[in-house]
Amino acid sequence: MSDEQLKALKDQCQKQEEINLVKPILSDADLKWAIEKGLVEA
Amino acid sequence: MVEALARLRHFLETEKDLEAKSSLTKLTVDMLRNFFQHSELNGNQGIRSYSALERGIFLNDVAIDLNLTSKSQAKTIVIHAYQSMSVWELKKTIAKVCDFSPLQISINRTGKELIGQHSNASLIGDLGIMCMEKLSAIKVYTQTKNAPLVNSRNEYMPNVKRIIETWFEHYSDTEVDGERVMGDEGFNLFMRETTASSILDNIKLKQSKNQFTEGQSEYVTREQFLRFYQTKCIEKPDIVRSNFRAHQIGADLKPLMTHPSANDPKENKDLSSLPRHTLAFDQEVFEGIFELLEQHQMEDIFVLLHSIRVNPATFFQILTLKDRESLAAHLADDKSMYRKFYSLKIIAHLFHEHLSTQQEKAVVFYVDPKSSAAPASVDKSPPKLDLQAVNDDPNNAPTGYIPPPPEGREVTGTRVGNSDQAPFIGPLAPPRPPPNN
Repeated sequence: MSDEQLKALKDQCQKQEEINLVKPILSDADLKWAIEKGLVEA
Repeated sequence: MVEALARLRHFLETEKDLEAKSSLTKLTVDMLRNFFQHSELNGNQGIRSYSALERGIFLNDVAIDLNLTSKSQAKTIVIHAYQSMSVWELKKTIAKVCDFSPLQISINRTGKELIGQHSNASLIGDLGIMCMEKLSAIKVYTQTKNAPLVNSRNEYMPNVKRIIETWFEHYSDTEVDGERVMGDEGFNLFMRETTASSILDNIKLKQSKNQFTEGQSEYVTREQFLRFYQTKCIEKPDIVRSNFRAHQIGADLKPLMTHPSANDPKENKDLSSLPRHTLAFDQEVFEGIFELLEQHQMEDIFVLLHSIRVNPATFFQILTLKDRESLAAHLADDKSMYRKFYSLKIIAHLFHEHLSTQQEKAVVFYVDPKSSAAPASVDKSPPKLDLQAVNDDPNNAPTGYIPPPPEGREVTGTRVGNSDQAPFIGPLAPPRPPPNN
């Protein structure tokens, strides 16, 4: 989407919302699981 | 899966011909990767492959038009993310924004193959999605087997008759000689909701009504309505089914997903059913894959390693190393070149994550919903079907009923679903409304 298209979209829309997409490749739950399985030291 | 790897090991240990070894390894890995894809048709809990450690290019301003449901106010979502974002994560983000089932979302790319359920495990970089690309999210219908509409004597199947009767009960808006009939207002509303057309003019509506009444009356009686649909069930069953679809009834006469919300109960929530997870998280199997790789140096086995999740033991051991010396010692301990490479990629990922200034985000653009009103004298509440009556029917036919339409359903505007697939029966198929943009 070009800058002009983005500007047109902003003009059309009443509201914008930002969503964070940052996500680790392995999560805290995975770490907890690995500790429980004895794969990693706590 | 484990059996396939065991057989591969046996073959590699016994076979002398290098070409045969290579060929069977490739075949096994391809087969396993197909199996991964198939296992993630209903989602994958957002797991990413080891290959996603390489984040790739940061893709700015990837705009996705959201054409999923008329009730959603979200118009466009603009993604800013690395190529390592998975297709499933993208679908989940869209699903959350639109409150729509991620299992019913496909991504359409102009001139390219549709990104459907088979791509859930892929990364957007694998598909070649580029900066500033324009995509659209569309709803996909699950193919179901057609249920019969009439029996061998060309009589209505009981559940079909019940649906048609329920339509009549819902849209009949006046009484003549003590009997409910469908007057102009009710008939016009029925036509619009069944064809999703907002531009049926009075002449066309009158002509359409004549198809039902055969020119005998100014209103449509129950008998005329049932007779008309019975004829069409025999002559044009596909178009009757498309009328059903307009009312959210599938070809199997069961409701299309009535509330295809973001929390779809069919979504796979069980990590242990995902082979890309279990292979990487079962230390014994994971070690076995490395042994195969080290003993036979088959490149495709490394491809397999890239397809599955990151091994948590290796990842967290590196993540929890305290200083540079312990990192160097960890790498020195790895005697295998492949293991060193596996660890180095994790280290590179962690460094990149630490240094990165780009923030992965999505910006959602919302518009106000269009407002419209139904004619005052017609009940706007959803058609109700006496399920008990259908279920009590001795005929062994599939159960069908009319689910409530989505909230905010427009009387004269667009409908949930694909209007292109819902022509009205009869010779007066109304013209399609022009596209919104």
